[in-house]
This record gives sequence, C-alpha cells and structure tokens, in this order.
Amino acid sequence: MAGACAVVGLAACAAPGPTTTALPTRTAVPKVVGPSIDANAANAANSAKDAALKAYHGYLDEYVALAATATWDTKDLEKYTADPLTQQALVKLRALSDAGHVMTGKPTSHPVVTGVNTTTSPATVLISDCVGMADWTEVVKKSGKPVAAASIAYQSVSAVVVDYGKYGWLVQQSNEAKATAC
Amino acid sequence: MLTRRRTRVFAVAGMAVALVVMLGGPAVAAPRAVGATAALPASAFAVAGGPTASVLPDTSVAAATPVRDATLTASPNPAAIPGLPQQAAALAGAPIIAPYLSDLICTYNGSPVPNLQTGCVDPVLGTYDPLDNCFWKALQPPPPPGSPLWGGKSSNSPAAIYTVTCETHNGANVGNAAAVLQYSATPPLNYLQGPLGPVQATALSVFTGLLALAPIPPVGTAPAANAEPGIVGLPNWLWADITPAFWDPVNSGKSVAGSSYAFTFQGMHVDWDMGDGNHVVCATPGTGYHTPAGIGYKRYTGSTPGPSPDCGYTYQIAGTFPVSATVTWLVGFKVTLLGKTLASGTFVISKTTPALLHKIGEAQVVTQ
Repeated sequence: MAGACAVVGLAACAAPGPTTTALPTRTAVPKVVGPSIDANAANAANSAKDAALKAYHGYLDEYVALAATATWDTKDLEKYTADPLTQQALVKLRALSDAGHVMTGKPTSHPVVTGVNTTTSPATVLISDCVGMADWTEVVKKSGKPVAAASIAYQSVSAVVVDYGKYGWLVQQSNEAKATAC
Repeated sequence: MLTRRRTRVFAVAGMAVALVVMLGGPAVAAPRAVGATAALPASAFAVAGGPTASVLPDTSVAAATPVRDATLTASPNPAAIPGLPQQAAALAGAPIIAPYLSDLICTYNGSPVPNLQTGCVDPVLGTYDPLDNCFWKALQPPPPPGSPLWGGKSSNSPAAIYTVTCETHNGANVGNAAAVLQYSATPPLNYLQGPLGPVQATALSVFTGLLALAPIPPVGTAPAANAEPGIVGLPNWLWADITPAFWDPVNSGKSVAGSSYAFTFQGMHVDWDMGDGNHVVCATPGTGYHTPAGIGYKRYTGSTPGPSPDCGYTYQIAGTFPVSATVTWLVGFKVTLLGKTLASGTFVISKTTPALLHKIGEAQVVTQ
C-alpha cells in the first residue's frame, strides 16, 4: 500500500482519512508543471523538485536521529531546515528531553511533490507525505516503556521547501494532520 | 446612590498597585498600546514549550488562540513604544536616546523566568522581552526577499520576521503559549543586548541607588483583598501607588570615582494584565479612589460613582482573574569624565507585580 501511495500521489494516500492540512494563505500558490512549458523551465522545475526532496529527506532523517536521543541543543537540522520549522523542531525535541522520553524505531515516509514554482522568487516546492508511525514510538528513556496514548498510525504532512540562495533549499514549514491510512 | 469600593493593594519593589471596582456609571475605554510592528495573520504555530500530542514538528495554524492581544504583542519594540519620541523631546538633562537597554532582570508576574542564559536568552525561543513577557527570535536564515512570509513589507535589515512565544504562567515549559510570526522594522527591546558594559552597569547601579534613597510610597493602606467580588459590566478603577516624584520627568545625578552620572527618568506606562485575556495600557499610574493623602499619583475623594478618569477596565464575563501590573520607566543616562562622554543611552526598566486574584460576579435581581 505504501508503495502504491508513492506512485499515485496524495489523493489516494489521504483517502479515507483526513485530507492534508491546508497551507497558510500567505504561501504562494504553486504552479504545477505541465507539458506546455519549455525545456528550460522543465529543467528548472526538475532541479527544484530534486533539491527540495533531498532537503525534505535530510530533514526527516536528521529529526528522527535527534529524536532517538532527544537532542535539542544542536545545529544539525539547519543543513535542511529554516525557521520557523527549525525552531519548532527544537521545541519538540526539548519537550521530549524535558519529559525524559526518546523516539525509538523509524517512521515510514513517502513524500511526493505536489507543486513547483520556479517562476517567481523565491522558488518554492510543496511536498506531501504520509508518515507511518507504527514503528516509530515514543518511549520513556530510562525504562524503554512506550508512552501511553501515543497511538497515531499515520501523519499527513504538507511541507514548504524554499530556495534560500546561498543556504540552499531548506524546509521552511511543515503542517501535519492525523491520518488513518496511507 | 450606592457606591461600593473594592480595593486590592500589593507591593513590589517600592510600589503599590490597587484595583477598585466601582458600582454605577458607564464603563471606561482605557488607552491601548499601538506599536509599529504588525501581526502577520494565520501564523500561529501549534507547538509551544510543553509536550503536545503530535510527534513531528508542526508549523501549521494553531487551533489555540494566542493569549496575548495582537496589538499589545506588537509593542515591545522601543522605537514603537507609544509616546517615546514626545517624551524624549520634552526631557531636559540626560538625553533619552539610543541605545535602548534593559536592566536584564527578566521576570513574569514578578518571578524570574527560569533557565534563561545571560541576556535573558532562551537558546531555542530567543530573547525574553520583559515589556511584553514574550520571547523574540528572528527567523534564521531570513526568508528570501519576495517570500510570502514578509507580507509585502520591506526585508531590508534591520527589519526581520520574528517568532514570538509568550509566557502565560510561571513554572515549567518556558514560553508556553503558541508561537506567532511577527514582522518588526527594528529589533525589539533587549534583543541580543548581551551583558551590560562596566560603565553601563555602574550607571544602572547609581540610578537604582538614587531610586532607593528617594521616598517610596507606603503600601498596604487600602482595605484587605478578597473582601467582596466585583460585578460584570461595572467599571474598575486601576492605579499604582507611584508618586509624581517617581513618574514625572526628573533630572538627577551623582559623581562616582571622578565620573559624572546624569540621569533623566520618567514613567512611561502601566500595563495591566486583567487576567481575562485583555490588557489595559495606561499612560499614567492612574487615579486612586479614596486613597489616603500622599499615596499614589492622583487621588479621587469625591462621592460621584463612575469610571476612572484615566485608567480603568470593565469585565464582560464573570470569573476569578489573576490581575498584575507592569510599570515601565525610561531612564536616560549620560556618563562623563573630564567633559568626555564615556557612555550614554536609555534604560527601559519595567517591574511586574505578582498576580492577585480578582473575583468578578454577576449581579442578580430577585423578583417576586
């Protein structure tokens, strides 16, 4: 099922669960790349897609690694993320640390690009993901016991990845919602 | 005509503030702070300092409403403090000029905010501003010019977009309100100030010494708290027991080790947190209702009920509300040695009283 999601895209992933959280209205409406654009634009769009997905994967992998030790006093995320996401991620990680919890295992992830805008500055890519939480569990660090009420099966994620110029492509925002299936 | 008085008095650092509920008379609309910064809509984040149900970080619009009034939240910027230019122009002696400095005493409702680093900094949330009880952190890296996050405003430095995370209670989970994005053309007070230099620290020490030597108003002279509840829809009088000597412009000075320390200080405003989500920002310490002579800035001794002439509030809902007041002064200073200026600037000093619980009830009419 997860593999099918990656192929057919978000609409199939989200049904019958909640749809992806709408992005803030201030976010530029992306232009979907279509067959009528010229080759240069297509190349730019493809490059943007690749760079954005690389940043998103890097962010998720780094966040999972930091959550495994509840490490929040770090700059490792900044290779892949920008504020406000960086700050909110650190807030999350510090809350884990303060509670004496860590995350064990790994989530599943199947990001798909749902929008690309390379015609206005800054270039922006929208990514949707359905993150499987079954094998990524919040536990008490000392005992290893799972934390009660951590029973979210999937999380639907909508991310905004932006070209920050000399900083590269960075995940700027990430909205999430509970999902019942992918 | 029936008039009841409800008075609470509490004191912190040499000042007393009081709240009186007047029965009868229309409600008063108190002045509010208007800042130059602007709130960006749809920019509250779900994640605050405390644990949340979700695991992944989330920057989506929060369901929870930020507790701080957007207008007030926009006011910590010293360049945007209401009345500052006029006050500066009116003052003689030591000029009230940039740089604006904080005394780096960071409290919330009278208690120190825990676990802050030097300069009132939280490593994740940013710099704490005691004027609005919020942490400010400029987005890093700054969004590229043209980003929708700028909302069409200038992205030229020092303009920045900040995440603003406010305190809502003492104790664990520092910065416990949902964060919001806020544009500001200039840095907020205390932002990345760092520790005071030796001359600045001495200036602050000399000023606080002068303040301690001056006559501080007596406290605890009003009826005891918790005597009877206030009433929804009827005006409250708000005042701080601060005498004119500690509010109106004053020039002072002292010599220390051959250096001359000149000060001009003046009260700026009193920000009342009414405990129901609203704030009242008054340009004066308020008018004491039937307070003893010599207490407070002004006093009212008449018998006509009604709203306060300069600082009041009317509750629209019943409940028990923690009420506190933050009093802010401007202190211009200039340090000279043999005619040469060693340091100058303006301290923006605020002190917050502990919260007192204020009960507001519904008036009931019994008919037969």
